[in-house]
Amino acid sequence: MNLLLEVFVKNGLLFDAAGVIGLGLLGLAALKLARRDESWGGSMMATGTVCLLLARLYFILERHLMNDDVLHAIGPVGISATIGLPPLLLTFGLAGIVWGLWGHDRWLSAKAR
Amino acid sequence: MTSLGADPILASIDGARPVFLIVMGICLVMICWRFAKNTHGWSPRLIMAGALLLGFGYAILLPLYEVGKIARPPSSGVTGSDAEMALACHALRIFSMNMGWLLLGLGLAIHTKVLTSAPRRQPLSTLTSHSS
Repeated sequence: MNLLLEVFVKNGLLFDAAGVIGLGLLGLAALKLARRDESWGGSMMATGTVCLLLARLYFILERHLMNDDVLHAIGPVGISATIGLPPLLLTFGLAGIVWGLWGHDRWLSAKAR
Repeated sequence: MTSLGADPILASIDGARPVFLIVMGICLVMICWRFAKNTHGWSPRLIMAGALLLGFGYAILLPLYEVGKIARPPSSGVTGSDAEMALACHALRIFSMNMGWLLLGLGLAIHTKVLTSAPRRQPLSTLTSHSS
């Protein structure tokens, strides 16, 4: 295998950590924007960030935690939730961040007028 | 998930999700561009770098994965040009999505001054004179 590819594939957790740190910073910045300018866009962005973080943490933990015992313990409803919830969280998280940024931008321009 | 080569029906959920991802990726880049115009220093560069990486990931890479044009990387030791291609796309996806969020978050954090401490509202001298 190519050495560069090997670095990327073997150090997946390192890059995941970078993504989680970035999302955490984004959430903090969104909260600060929401408090400083009292805009709903910042809160929406923070909500979206939390959704994305939850989905990401689930995907990271899934490899280490999920086995047959856990799946048996949580039952069919839990299994459907593990299948259905992460894509939903990813979708709403991305939409929330984009919508929040747009709303914050609109809020600032409306306030300036 | 649709099979390889078969294009999904546009109105189905499998068909709507790539479209949603493309629209969101493009919107993210455009809104970040507008947002970065009001900032100065290092934050607009970081925000735009992150937004472009995320836009590439969300608008190009992830929809291709969703419609099955790029295969998931094989876990076993399958070799060949397809496996190399899948691994390269996987590496590109890991890099662009994670570094994109990191750069965007860092840029916004620098813009909103999350990382620096807030200025003291009350001067130190008045505090000490009250206590003494």
